[in-house]
Amino acid sequence: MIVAIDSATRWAGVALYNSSQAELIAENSWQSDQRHTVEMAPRLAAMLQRAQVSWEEVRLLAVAQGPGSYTGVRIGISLAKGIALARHISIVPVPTLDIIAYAWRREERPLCALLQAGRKRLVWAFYRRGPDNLLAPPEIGFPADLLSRPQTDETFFCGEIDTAVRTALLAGNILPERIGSPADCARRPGYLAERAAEIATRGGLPASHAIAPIYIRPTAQL
Amino acid sequence: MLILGIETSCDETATAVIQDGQRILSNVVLSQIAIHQPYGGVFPEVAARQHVLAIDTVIEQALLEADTALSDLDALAVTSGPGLVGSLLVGVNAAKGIALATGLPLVGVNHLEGHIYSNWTRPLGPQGNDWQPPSLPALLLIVSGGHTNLVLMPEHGVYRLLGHTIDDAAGEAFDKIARLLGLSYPGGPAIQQAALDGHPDAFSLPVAHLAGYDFSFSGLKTAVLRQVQQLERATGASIDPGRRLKTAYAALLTPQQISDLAASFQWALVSALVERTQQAASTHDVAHVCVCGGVSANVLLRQRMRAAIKLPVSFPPLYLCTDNAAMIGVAGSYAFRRGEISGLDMDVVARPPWPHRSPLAT
Repeated sequence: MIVAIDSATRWAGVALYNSSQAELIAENSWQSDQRHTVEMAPRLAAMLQRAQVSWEEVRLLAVAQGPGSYTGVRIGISLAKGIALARHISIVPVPTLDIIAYAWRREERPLCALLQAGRKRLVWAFYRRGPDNLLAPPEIGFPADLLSRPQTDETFFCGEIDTAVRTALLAGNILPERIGSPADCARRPGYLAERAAEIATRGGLPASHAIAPIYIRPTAQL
Repeated sequence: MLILGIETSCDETATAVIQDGQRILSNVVLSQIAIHQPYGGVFPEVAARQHVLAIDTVIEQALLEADTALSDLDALAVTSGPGLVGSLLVGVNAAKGIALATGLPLVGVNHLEGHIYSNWTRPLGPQGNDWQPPSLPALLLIVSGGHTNLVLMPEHGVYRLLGHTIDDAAGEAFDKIARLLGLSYPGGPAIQQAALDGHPDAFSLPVAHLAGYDFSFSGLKTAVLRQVQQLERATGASIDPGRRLKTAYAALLTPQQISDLAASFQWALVSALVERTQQAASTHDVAHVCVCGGVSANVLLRQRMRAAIKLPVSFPPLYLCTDNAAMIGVAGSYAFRRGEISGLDMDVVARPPWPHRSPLAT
């Protein structure tokens, strides 16, 4: 049983996933506007209770590693570290952009996964058919910077696309059908759990104490 | 009763295991001082980043040193404020993770109340053998980098704020004057060290006398700055008045001048603390005076407070003056006994109202 925790951005989520039976048992996503500390733990507790699953049955934790809100990412990782320490289980950290890429792994078009990075900036990365095939490493910049990057006429844009970003993409001659709808863009913790299951089968998981957030700005650049 | 204390309110990642609300079984403090030294103070984002890297290792270390497992514990106590939000969140969420997965009760602890309870912590070693907790009602002086408060404590968990600083905290004034004099961070130990070679009466510095029991250190700070500028002027060097406190002027001062300024500043600041505390102790019906917080490590403060106050005066052992989780575990033990359990929806509070739980609050 895998518990997934995603508090990397305003769009938060938790999921319960039975990897041995390939079954998504519960999934809960919501807009948590700087209330992750208040909301994450109670929702996790309620999810397990409703599913009648005990923490003894949970064998693995999946957590969104960032980039995203610095504070949000740390909340998820701290929560996961506490659970992992108590249950002696491993954590699979999954880069936040990879969660989006995993959701669109069957999409033939190249994918531009993007997240809000504050102060009207975005962080993005280009993928093809899932997170294992990263076409270009993550970058940070304004929508105009993103549009200036080389891309095919087919690239599909998905992730944290609010009205301002959608408007900027459309103004940059990106056709509407190449931009994810609001529902397409919702990051699902079920995919985080599934991606973590995939990574876990490869082995070599990091020790919990070695897990660190991925920050848009590394500490040396602060 | 065994409680795990977790403290991440500023720049120390700290954990401790406390037995029966007073005995320290382990006390682990991972300090970030060296990391923040280049900034001359705590860099909040860097502090939060360090906490999330260290939190699980530090918790495991406290359990290991106490030869205790999570299954032996009765509760978790964690600092929920005041402090740096990004830092507080790490400790609180790690504690919530443990509480979720074990069912252990969670107790949110006010950081200031933690400092208070550093005086209710049985000292390690032989000193602890005939130790007695302070008697109540007590008068509390909380002096740290973020706080300077005089508080009445009629009974456990009940506080009445008598006075507080209206500008800088005492520890903050130490840090700023240390920076002005070109001394290292944190300023308290650096000024104390420099003052050893100085004369406290070398410079006449003012002590603010406010109505009631409030403190003010901005006038003292400015007086030191003016004195430094005057000394600089005497060297014939040009002064940019815009530089003010953020720039070290020390390059133009002699080591003796720096020591004299450090000693005079320390004397004046300690005078303010001792006079206000003495005044409050003589006016209110108290049985004990307890001093706590980082500045309570100051030797001059200890000497002068003990000499001035005719009541029993307690200071925490030096290892409990700065931020630590033992004090959080002890404060949490008292709160746990009172049935003050926090929910999983507990939030962190950067500036909780003080005192946060007092039916006597004014």
